[in-house]
Amino acid sequence: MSQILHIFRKDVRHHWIEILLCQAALVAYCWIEVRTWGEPGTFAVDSLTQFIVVLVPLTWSLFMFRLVQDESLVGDRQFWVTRPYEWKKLLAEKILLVLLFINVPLLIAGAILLAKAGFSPAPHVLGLFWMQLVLLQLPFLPLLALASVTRNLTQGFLTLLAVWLLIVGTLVVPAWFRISSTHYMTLAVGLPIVVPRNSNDLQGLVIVLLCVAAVGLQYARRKTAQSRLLLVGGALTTVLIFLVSAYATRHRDPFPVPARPTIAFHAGSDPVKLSAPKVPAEQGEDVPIGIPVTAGGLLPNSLGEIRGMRVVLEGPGGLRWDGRWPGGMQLLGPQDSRWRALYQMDYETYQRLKSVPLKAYVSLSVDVFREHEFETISATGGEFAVPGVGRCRVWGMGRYVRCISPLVKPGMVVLRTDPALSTCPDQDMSLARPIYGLPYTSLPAPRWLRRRSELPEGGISPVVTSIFYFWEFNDLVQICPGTPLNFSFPQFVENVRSDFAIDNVHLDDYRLPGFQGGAMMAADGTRLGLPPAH
Amino acid sequence: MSSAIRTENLTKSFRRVTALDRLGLDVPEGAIYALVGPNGAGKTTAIKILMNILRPSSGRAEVLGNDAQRMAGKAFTAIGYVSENQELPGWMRVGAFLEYLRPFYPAWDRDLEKELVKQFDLPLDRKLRELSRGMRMKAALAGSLAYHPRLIVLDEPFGGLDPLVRDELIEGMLERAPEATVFLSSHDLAEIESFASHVGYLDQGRLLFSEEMTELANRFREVELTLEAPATLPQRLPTTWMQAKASASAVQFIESRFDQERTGTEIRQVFGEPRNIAFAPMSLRSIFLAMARSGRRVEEGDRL
Repeated sequence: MSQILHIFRKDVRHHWIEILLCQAALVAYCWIEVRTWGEPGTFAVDSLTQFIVVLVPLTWSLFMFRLVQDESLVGDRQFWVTRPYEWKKLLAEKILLVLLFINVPLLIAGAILLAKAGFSPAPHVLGLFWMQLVLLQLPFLPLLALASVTRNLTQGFLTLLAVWLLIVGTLVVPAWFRISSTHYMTLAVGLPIVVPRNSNDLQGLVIVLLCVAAVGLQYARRKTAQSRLLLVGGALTTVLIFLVSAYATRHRDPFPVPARPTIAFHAGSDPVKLSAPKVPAEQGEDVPIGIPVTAGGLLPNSLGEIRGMRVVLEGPGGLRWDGRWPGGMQLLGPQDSRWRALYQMDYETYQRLKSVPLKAYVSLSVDVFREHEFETISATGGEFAVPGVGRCRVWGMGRYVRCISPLVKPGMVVLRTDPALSTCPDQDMSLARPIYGLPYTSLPAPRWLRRRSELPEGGISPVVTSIFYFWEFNDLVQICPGTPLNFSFPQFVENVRSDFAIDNVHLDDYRLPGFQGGAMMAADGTRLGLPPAH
Repeated sequence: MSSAIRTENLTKSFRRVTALDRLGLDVPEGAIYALVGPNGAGKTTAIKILMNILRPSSGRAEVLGNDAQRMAGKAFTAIGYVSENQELPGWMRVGAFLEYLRPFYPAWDRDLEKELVKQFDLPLDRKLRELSRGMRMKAALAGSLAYHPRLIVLDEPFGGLDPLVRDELIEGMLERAPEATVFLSSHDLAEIESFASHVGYLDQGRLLFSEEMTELANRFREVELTLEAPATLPQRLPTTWMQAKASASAVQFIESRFDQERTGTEIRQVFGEPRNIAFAPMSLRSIFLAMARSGRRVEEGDRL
């Protein structure tokens, strides 16, 4: 222990500037984070936020590279290798410094942010520790591994850049195959602070194991070549797993048929009269294709969240096109619904398919929820508490509600607001711009959100932001102080699927003039909201 | 006498280049052993293997009874290693450097540290990176002597130093020598001749010989014969004669196993009774030059 403390004292004395930089970047991050809760960001604040978000992991990287390379493990000229250092103590000292000057301040910052956001940190202590554990896995462990196999700061940062490019490159490859990679996109934005959603999967395990092995090998034996090989092998294995799994699932049914559905959900082609837009498709540009769908069969007090819809178009001579629609901003109510599922088709495929009769095979997957818990809260001019969600505030000229929650996003939450009950002055319904000539009549408007994970996803801030957008309702939905907001917390019931085919599809009839999605409508063609909350 | 350092068939290859070729060393405790040889002979590689900085391709090495490949941590409390290429923490001041090293060594002697600082005239408040090469070596040596190491290993410690600094370093090292074994490498023969007790000569990774200095000096002689008639060198000469050459009535060679009586008998057997025989002792430099030129190697049963 005395050796650990002795080296620790030396490192603190030597790296106080890096330590200060880390703390300063963290303080700046917290300051900017708190500001973003309170008011919409100006350009300057948004730019500063972006800068700080990049700065924080950079200061961590700088600190860790300098710290580890102070007793460099690469090369054969370092004075310390012939001194009575014990490798386990040296490694423990480095980890202690990271814990003390990165993790502990993050833990404290997390608690302060929670308190600033109006949440007591005490019930969330375990969650805060979990966030630190996730951060240790990524980015701290890989950073430690990189620092231990690089000779100096330049080499370290160049390697980091190479890793980042490798990740971005890996994410680009599935796009060539037209494989959805949205699940991993968070990685490309900022490796050091964003944790992949599937952090406990095979890739995560490979990364952790190989980083631990590389660090152990370097500290115990200083076998740089082998350690580097392990890391490169690990990186390539991870990329390979990603690409292989992405490619292997390319033809897999994205929406498997549920085993024993209990809900008589049904969907089919909406028999509306279709005609091709007058404007021809733009050469070289992706072509928007809209499939009109009608669906129904949900029980009262139920909601359906569309997980996605797959359309396979088949034509003579082996012509085939496979498209997926992620569902997006659509929520089904108990009544029959109609909408257009929007697809993006590349221009060349469109040209090949447009002149031949096609058959469309459609699979629609829906998660069904039951609503039984409602909470009506009047919006205020400032922040207001919403049980089960956190603290919310009306933003963006009354067009969206922004909520903050401790550690994780709330589960399924639906927010309804009825424009008829709006307390905003000068609410002029005539300003509403209908989409495709369809009037907005049947409201209230619903917005909802759904979390991906029960556990905190890592990152710096334990305060999670969720936004209920009402922008697409144009001027119809505006929330002002006093406007009643109805929150519901639906419980998942089951996943249902409906398959149907459409014969004799003439593709050009399904082409849309633009990429704006078709609104949810009732059977009579009016735009739908959800039924009023009970 | 037990060995401070012992190696057996120690070989190190870097891809296709063999830097060390079956090195067999035996450095007795208490010796001041100088491993000499030209640049690129493999001296630094040998020392780095002994210090477990590099791993051998084959063979084994023992340092103070420890397998060199397992040497780590506490094993280094008994070893003081200084190299001309060592990267010291340049950001540290000399005083802080010594202060930092202190707790690593249970036997650190504060009085000795002070003495060394004074002897080497070390500026305690200067950063290591601001020091001249000679001063840096002195700081490194002070940090390697202050804990009474049983073994002092110096890799080219005097290279490029001015004579004054070199003498200071040698003096500092010799003062500690009675309590330690010193193993050092050098390509400058003259500088080690005055104090080394043992010497090994390494060339292209191969140890040409390794023995005590006095023994070496005693067994090498420059021999000059003056004959009665013009001389020709016979085809077969004793194997211990090196670089034999004849001009007019004079014959010169280097005897590598000098024994006045035996050498005299061998001379008479080859040349008859010469008019004059002169035996001249050789400097270490001359011996090594002769060795290098003859390119011979000391092996079992083929000792020069």
